[in-house]
Amino acid sequence: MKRKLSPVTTAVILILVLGAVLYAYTRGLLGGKQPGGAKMGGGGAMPSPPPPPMGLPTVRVSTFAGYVRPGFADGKGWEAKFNGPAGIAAAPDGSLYVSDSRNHRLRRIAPDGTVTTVAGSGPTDCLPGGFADGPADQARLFNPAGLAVAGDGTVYFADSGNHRIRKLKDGVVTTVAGCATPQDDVGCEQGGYRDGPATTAQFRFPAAVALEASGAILVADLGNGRLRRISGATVSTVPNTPALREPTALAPGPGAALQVADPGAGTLSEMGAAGLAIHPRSGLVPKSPTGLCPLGAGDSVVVDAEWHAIYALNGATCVLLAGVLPPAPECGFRDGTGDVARFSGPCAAASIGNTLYVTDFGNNCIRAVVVPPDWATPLPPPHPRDRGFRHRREGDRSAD
Amino acid sequence: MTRRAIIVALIVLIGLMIGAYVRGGYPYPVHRPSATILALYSDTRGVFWLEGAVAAPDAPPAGGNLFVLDRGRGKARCVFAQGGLIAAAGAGGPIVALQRTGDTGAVLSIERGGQVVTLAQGLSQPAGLATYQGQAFWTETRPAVAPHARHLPATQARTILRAVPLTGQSAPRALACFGGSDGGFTGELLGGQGDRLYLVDAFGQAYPPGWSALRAVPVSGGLPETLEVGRGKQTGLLTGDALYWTGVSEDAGDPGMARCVRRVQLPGNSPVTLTDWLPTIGRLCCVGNRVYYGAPDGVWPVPTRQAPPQLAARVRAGSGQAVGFGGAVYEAARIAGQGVVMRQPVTLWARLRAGLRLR
Repeated sequence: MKRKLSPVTTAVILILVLGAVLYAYTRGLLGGKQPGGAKMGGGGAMPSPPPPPMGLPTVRVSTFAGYVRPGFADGKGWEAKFNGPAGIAAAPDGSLYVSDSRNHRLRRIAPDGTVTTVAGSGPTDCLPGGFADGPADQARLFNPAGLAVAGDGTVYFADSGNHRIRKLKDGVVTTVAGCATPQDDVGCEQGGYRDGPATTAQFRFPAAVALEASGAILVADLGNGRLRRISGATVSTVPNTPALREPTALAPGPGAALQVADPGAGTLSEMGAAGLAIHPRSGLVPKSPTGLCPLGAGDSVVVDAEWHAIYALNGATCVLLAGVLPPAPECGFRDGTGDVARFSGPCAAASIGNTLYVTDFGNNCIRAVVVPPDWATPLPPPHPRDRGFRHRREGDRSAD
Repeated sequence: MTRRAIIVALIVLIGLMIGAYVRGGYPYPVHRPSATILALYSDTRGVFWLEGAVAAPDAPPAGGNLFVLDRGRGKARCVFAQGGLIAAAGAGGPIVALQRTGDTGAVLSIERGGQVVTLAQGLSQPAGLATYQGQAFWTETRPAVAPHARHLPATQARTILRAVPLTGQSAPRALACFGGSDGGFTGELLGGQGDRLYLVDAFGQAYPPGWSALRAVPVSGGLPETLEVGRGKQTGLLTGDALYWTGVSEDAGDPGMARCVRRVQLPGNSPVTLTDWLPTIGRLCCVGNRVYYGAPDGVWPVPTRQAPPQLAARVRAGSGQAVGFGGAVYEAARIAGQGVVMRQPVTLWARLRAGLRLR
């Protein structure tokens, strides 16, 4: 004897069955167990590879000045334009000095984000620079690179295309060390290598400067693969630095040591009284350490131009603050948390408190990276359900 | 009776002309090469191109042989079969070509009869070529001193613009230099107008999509001027006193998905955008006074005032390398897996001639 089900009962049974299937599907119960132990969701057919190392979600990245499109303009925040910002240093008054390399200018960024040009003249936009000392608005620079600001506000900078170390003080640019070197057929100086009096010493593509407590200036002489010291009016080569290939950044490290970044050799070294030593590091190792700056007491920040990432160093431990590493290193322009932010060839950094200011060379802007005080504390692993939300495109302005 | 016959004849003639015009509106092949068409050019005497093997990615260009299809000749002929040519340019006389072997090269002047004169040699990574005021212009690139320090432009590759008289009677001279890329110059020399040479210089390509700058360089040497900077790799065209160039779309939500075309009347007027939403691969060319954008999917006329783009003729599987000559746009395309040089008549007279098989 057949019994007829009422339409309401049929509908209720169908809804319950569909609900159970949907629940099982969303919980991943329909997927088979994979050899690696990972469960497949109902919609997936392939095991997903492990996610690449990403920056910290507690780090905040924003654009401080400039905005992707290269150019030359003063203004506040995004109104300002840079063309290949290469070096950055913090001044005692809280402002930042930036070497705008393809524009052959030094720029100052006030704490409120207003950008002004403080030195340099002549052509911009990748055209060749020139050399002239004098009043800052008439001085000529050629691809200025690393900078350092002294306590009295004097800005020392490596004028890499002119193969000289120069300074900006009281609105006047003067040469600290270096002299004219032979020119090629288009008038570009080739640089050289000579120690001795500062007026006759020669450098080759100096990339960075750092000030020592004694008042001496240390120079990363990239083209010669050496560290040089300007003490008084004499230039000498720092001994025991044989491992350097292309030093590009100098920064104070723990204790009295000086850290040296060398993207050519892919190393971070520390220079103490005994000379240069490369310390082994655990965990992540930057591919191409290009920029350095201190972060708090004894810690430091490394900028990796090849993997477009920002790291923090705590002793021998290296933590990725922002960016994404291989197998999928990404270059781009995106603000947001450290795991979603993207850079394009970041190359130098300066810190004021717990905020880093990074020159984003490929994006022609300065990015601000706010690092939480507990950055060294390992985060708990993310819940699987939260993983999808980590890839949201927060602050995405890549569509310029 | 006679009057009626004349009217009928006129109607038949008009019908034939309409038929010929419609029939002549389709592209047809003018040459079937035995190798790949590497680049296509035109001057006042005809169309010429380079045929050879495509280089592997990240390898120096392999170069090819030079073929010429002159006005009034139905068949193309090879005028330089020694290979290695990577760029060519002409102004109606001899064709000037860049020959490259590995990272070095030479500038050759090749008569249409086949005689070859070397204008310059021992060049470092030569690329780009243009002729103007009896001179050949090209670029050379010096490799980077510190390849890993990409943020220090002074240490990176440097591109130098050089010139030599077509007579070959004096040594090459350097006109200007710019920041370059490790693979060599990937921009375009557009030609000259007045006392300036115009070029599209691609820079910052190490960080995709990079940038293109439109520059003007004094022919006698001196300080170059940057006219415009645009995102990605762009192309340009100099015709008469008007300079056209492409840029990323100003209208599309994702600017990388379409191109616009901008124009400036020389010297020094402010640029205007003429059209937008064009395919991202393509090249500007000129037929008579009209400018066209040759894309892989067809030929798009560039309006003289701001207007939406309209496809004039569809070319299947085109390469986006288009040149204009004699009332038609020539484009390298692929049909049934084989490369061809297609001719797409675009003017009234060219379409009538093509429709009547007067090719």
